[in-house]
Amino acid sequence: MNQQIGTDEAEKIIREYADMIFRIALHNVKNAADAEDIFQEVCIALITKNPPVENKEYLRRWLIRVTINKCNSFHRLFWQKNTESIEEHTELESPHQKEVMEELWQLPKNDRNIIYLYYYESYTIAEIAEILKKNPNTVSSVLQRARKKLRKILLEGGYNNA
Amino acid sequence: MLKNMYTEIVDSIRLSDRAVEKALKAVRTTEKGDMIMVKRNKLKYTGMIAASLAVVIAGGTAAGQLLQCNQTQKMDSTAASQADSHNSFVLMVNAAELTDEPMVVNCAEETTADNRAAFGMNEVRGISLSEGDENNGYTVGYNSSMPITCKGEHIRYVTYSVDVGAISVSYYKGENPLIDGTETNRCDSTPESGVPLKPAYQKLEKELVQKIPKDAEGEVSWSQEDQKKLEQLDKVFENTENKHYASITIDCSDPRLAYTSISLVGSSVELNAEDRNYLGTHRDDLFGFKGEAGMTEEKACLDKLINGQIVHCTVTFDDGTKQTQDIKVGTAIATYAEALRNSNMMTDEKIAAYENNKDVFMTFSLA
Repeated sequence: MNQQIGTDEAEKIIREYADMIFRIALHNVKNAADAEDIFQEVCIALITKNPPVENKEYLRRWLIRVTINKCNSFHRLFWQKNTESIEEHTELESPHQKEVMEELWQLPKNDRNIIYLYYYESYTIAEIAEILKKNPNTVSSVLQRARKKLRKILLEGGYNNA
Repeated sequence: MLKNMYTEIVDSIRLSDRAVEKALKAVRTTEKGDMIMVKRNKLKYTGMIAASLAVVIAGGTAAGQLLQCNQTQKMDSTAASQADSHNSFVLMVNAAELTDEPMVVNCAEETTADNRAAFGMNEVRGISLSEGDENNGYTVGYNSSMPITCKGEHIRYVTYSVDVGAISVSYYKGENPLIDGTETNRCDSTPESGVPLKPAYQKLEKELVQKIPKDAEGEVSWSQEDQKKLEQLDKVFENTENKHYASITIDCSDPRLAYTSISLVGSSVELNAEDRNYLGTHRDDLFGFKGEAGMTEEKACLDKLINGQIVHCTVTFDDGTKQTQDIKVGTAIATYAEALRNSNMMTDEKIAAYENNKDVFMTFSLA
C-alpha cells in the first residue's frame, strides 16, 4: 500500500503540474471555468487516490490520465455555454493566437489530446497509446489525420509567430 | 515548425495563482468521508453542513433574470460518494467566481442559462429604484435581479419565497412557467415587465444600441425607421404578464424559464430628503458618485430598502424529500471594474475611466 501523500508533498506536486493539468482540461472542456473545476478535482483525487509519487514519470502519466478521465465524465448540459473567454486565463499575445486556439478546439477531443501529448509533452506514439489506453495504430492514424488539420490551422491559416 | 507554433500557443496558457491557491485550500481542508469542496461558482454541501458565502452581485433587470436548475457532475472521491448518496443541491450565482469572501459577480454580455446578470441602460449597480414624490410621502422602492441557479441531482422542483417584499415574475402571455405561486400585494409598486427578449428581438435591440453615439448625453434622436423599431420592442413588453408573488415554485427543466424574468422587489420605504439624496437617484452620469463621499450613507439607505429580505429556497427531490437553504440579500461596496467587466452597455473607455471607482452593489449570501 502506498504511503499517504503528505500535505506539503501534495502541494509541491500540485504546483509543479498545475499548468499541465489545466492545459489538458482546457483542451477538453474548452472553458476556463470548467477547466479550473477539473483541476481542483484532480488535486482532490491526488490525495484521495494516493498514487505512488516516487516515480516522477509514472506520476505525470497518472495525472494526465486522471485529468482526461475527469474531462470525459464531465457532463455539460445543452444549455451550458461558454461564459468566460480564454482571455481571462492566458497570456496569448495576439488575437490571431486566440483565433488559432479556438480553431484547435473545433478538432475532435481525442485529436486535441493526442496533439497535445505529442507536440507539447513530447510523448511517443507508444507512450500516448499507453496513457490513453488505446491501440498504437489508432493513435498513429489519429495523429496523422490531426497533423493535417493542425497544419491547415497553423500554416495555411496564416499563423505568424515571428 | 508546426510543433514550435503549437507549443508557443500552449505555453501561454497558464493557470492563475488564484486558482492554484483555491485548489490547495480545498486539498488542505479535505478529510475523507466529510468533504466540502468549494468550486468555482458554487458551494456544494450535503445538507448537513452549511457555510456562509457572501456574494456581491452586480445585476440589472433590463434583459430579465432566470432561475434554473441543472444536474451536477459526479465527483470521484470517497466523500463525493457519500455526498451523492444524499439528495443534495448547489446554489450558484451566475457563472462568475465565488469565494467565501464577498465578491462582485461580473455582468455578462448576454444572459444565458448560467449568466443572469445584465445591466439596464441606467441602472448599473444591479438595483433600480422607484421614487415617489410629495403625493406619496417620498417613498422609494427597490427592484433587483435574482440571478440564482440551483444545481443538483434528482431535483423535482424548487420553491422560492420571501417574507418581506415580493418576487416579481414576468413572462410572455401563454408561457407561464410557474408550477405554483402565491400572489401578493405587499409591494405597492406596479409589477414591471422585464422578460428576456427572444432572439429576433435581441438582434433588433443590439442593432439599436449600436446606433447610440458613444458620447450621447440625454435623449437620443432616432430616425423614423428606427423609431418604428423601438415601437416594435415596446410592443413585445405589452404581450407579457407581470405579477408579484410571495412564493413561486418552478420546474428547473422548464424551457419557458429561458424567457421568464424573476426579480426581487422591496416594499416602498419613506425616506427623508437627505437619505434620498444619498441614494444617487439624481446622478448626472451612469457611473455614480462624484467621489466616495456619502457612499456609506447610501449603503445604509439601500439596506433600509432591502429591509433584511431573505429568500427561502426549498428544493423538493424526486423521492419527495426536501432541503432548504436561506439566502440573505444585502449590499456591499466594490469597484466598477469588478462589476462591469463584461457589460455590453458600457464602452471600454468608460470602464477605463471609472474602473477604480467604488459604488454600492447588491449582495447575496447564504444565511
